[in-house]
Amino acid sequence: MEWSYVIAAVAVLGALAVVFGVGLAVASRVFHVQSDPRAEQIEAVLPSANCGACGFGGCAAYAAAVAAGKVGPSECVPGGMEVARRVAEIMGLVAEEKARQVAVVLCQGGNRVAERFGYQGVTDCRAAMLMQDGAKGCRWGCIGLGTCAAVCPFGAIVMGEDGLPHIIEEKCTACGTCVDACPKQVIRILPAKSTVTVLCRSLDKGADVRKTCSVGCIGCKKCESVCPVEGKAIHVTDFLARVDVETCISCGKCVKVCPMGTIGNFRLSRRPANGKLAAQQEVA
Amino acid sequence: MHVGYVEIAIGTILISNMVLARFLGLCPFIGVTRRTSDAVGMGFAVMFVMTLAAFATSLLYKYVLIHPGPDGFNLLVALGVVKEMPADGYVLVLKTVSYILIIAVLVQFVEMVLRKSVPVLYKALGIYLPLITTNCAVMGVALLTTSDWKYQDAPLSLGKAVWMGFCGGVGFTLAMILMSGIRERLAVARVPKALQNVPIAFISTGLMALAFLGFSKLFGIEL
Amino acid sequence: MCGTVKGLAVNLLKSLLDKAVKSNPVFGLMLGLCPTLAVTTSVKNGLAMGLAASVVLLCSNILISLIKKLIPKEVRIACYIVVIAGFVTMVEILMKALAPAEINNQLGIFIPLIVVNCIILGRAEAFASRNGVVASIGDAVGIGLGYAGVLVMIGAIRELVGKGTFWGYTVWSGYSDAPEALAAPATVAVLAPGAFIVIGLLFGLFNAIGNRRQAAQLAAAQPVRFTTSADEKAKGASAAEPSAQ
Repeated sequence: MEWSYVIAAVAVLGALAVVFGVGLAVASRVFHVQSDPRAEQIEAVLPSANCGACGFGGCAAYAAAVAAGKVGPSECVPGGMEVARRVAEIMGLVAEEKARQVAVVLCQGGNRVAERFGYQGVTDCRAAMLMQDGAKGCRWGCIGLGTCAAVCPFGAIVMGEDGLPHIIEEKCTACGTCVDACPKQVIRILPAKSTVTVLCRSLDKGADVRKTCSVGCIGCKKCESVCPVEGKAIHVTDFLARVDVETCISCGKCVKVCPMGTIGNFRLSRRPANGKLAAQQEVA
Repeated sequence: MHVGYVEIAIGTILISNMVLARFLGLCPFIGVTRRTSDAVGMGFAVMFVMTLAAFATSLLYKYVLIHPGPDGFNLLVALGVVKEMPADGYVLVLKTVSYILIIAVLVQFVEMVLRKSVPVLYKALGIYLPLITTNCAVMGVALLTTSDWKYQDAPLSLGKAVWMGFCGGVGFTLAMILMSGIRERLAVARVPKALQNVPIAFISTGLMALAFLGFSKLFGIEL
Repeated sequence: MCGTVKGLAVNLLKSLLDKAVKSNPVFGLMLGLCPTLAVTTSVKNGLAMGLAASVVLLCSNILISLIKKLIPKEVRIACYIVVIAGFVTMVEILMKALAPAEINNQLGIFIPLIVVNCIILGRAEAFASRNGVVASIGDAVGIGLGYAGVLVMIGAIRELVGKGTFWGYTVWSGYSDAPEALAAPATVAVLAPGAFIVIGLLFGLFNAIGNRRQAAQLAAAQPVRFTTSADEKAKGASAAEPSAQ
């Protein structure tokens, strides 16, 4: 047994270990970075989606800004009240209430709307816009190539068989990534409590809308005339009806009277969380 | 065949590209090339670590681990730890352990330096930086630089070893940038569902490797 | 009594199969890709590499699960790497002494590169550092089987297509009467491009199988259909006035 083998091996590795240990220890002193421990605590509490809804470039940036006292603790939209409360706890502040919001797709056209030409290209709505604003007959409506579903950081959007995106409300955090991504601006963030919404954005005249889409708003003003609210909660301007979410009482009269079926009563068409049919839900 | 700096450059970047011909560094190659910005950052970090690693391991190899030759210098002999270096190279078994230690320490060091001096790049690389340690590309380059050479009697000089490490990094970065460009286009193309993402990336890599195969024996270089 | 032993054996087999197939290191976890492509130029090479990696995995799992309480959290990855490097060096020396020279030449630098094989480090971090010795042994055996199996499979495909041999025995060597494509084995399969294309197609195959299984599961579950007020309108037009609330 050649002991010199063992000695040489131990010497080489031991020397390396000592040199590296000392070197790293020195380097960690020299390159020490000051960081606020609160920023790291806050970052650990955030949902790490880096969606940017707070207005900062990612969760780390928001955490640093909160720790530096530049912004309040309730800005994280996906985190909601729970995260806001925890962030406020770390900073020793009080978190303010923010009403729940959700994304809504303001279009029912989808496969009901005929295409003006066959589009064969990059399967992205933003790319399709380069080709004469998309292939759909209605230039205000959803193109249906699924860009919103692809960019949603929470997987809350699924493209349906009808050619429209379906928002899974339990997962939607109203971060607004889909709103920014949609080139037709067809998705909007609305308060979750509003149940009546006009699912169309077409500013075309009624006759033109009828030619391309069987469920588009034709601006007939029947909804406006039947609205019981003083000062009307739904107005028609530029051939498009719009609901005023502040004053709407969600009575549903305009939904019944609309000849095209454009207005959505979300008591019926939102997917219920507990598996019951929407019509069987308790009317809030 | 004379192994000069030009031969090393062409051989390492084009003829035996680290990724496309030697299969080194495939995990980051598939993992980081979804966006070109990520690929470029990772590529440069790997280039930096590879050059430093080639330098350190080459030093260790030439002056500690091998028989120094008639006029050479060996640290172990000089310090009196062993009377003379054995011709059968038993100390060479320490190659694997010492190289990986060197690389792990280097990566830790680079992480610290980046965090202090270029925090934006540090945040951008995120978890990929510590993953360079287990990147076979860096370890592979270290092993290649210090292995028996077909065309020389002695190991590569220090300058050529460092140059080879650097060119290995350049080849790796080149392959990553090419791949990320292709994958960004593939992400919005109509790919059959079963082939989406990883499978089509591999098939594209295969076609790229086929193209690079055309460089073999370029200028008579066989590296 | 016999029942429990049999039950135990069945459980063991099931968990081994799970580790080998469902969380297969290459196709399930996407780890250890570099050696998978580099050494699978023939069945022999694939098997040799698979065995070498499995031995290292087994030894390192055992040792790490034995000393897991002693390793401080901050330096644990460095410790695992040193342990793995030690075993890789042992396997290296053993292979140089016992394995035929051609296998050593063909495997080349990928034997020392087992030390950076993400599979071994990954299992050390994810399993051996949290579980007991017996469980770690089982884990190593399962994952090792899965890995060796994949290497042999890819090696077999590439060797058959690229050289027309299997374990060195010629199976087919080209049909001179057939069209050009079958005149000789496709050497590209044992070169770099072939490796990438073969593994890409295999990934695609497993994806397709996985998708089909997922689709079957989804179809068996309740389909949910979103309704809009336009659909309600259409339904209301045909039936009597339904209460919309």
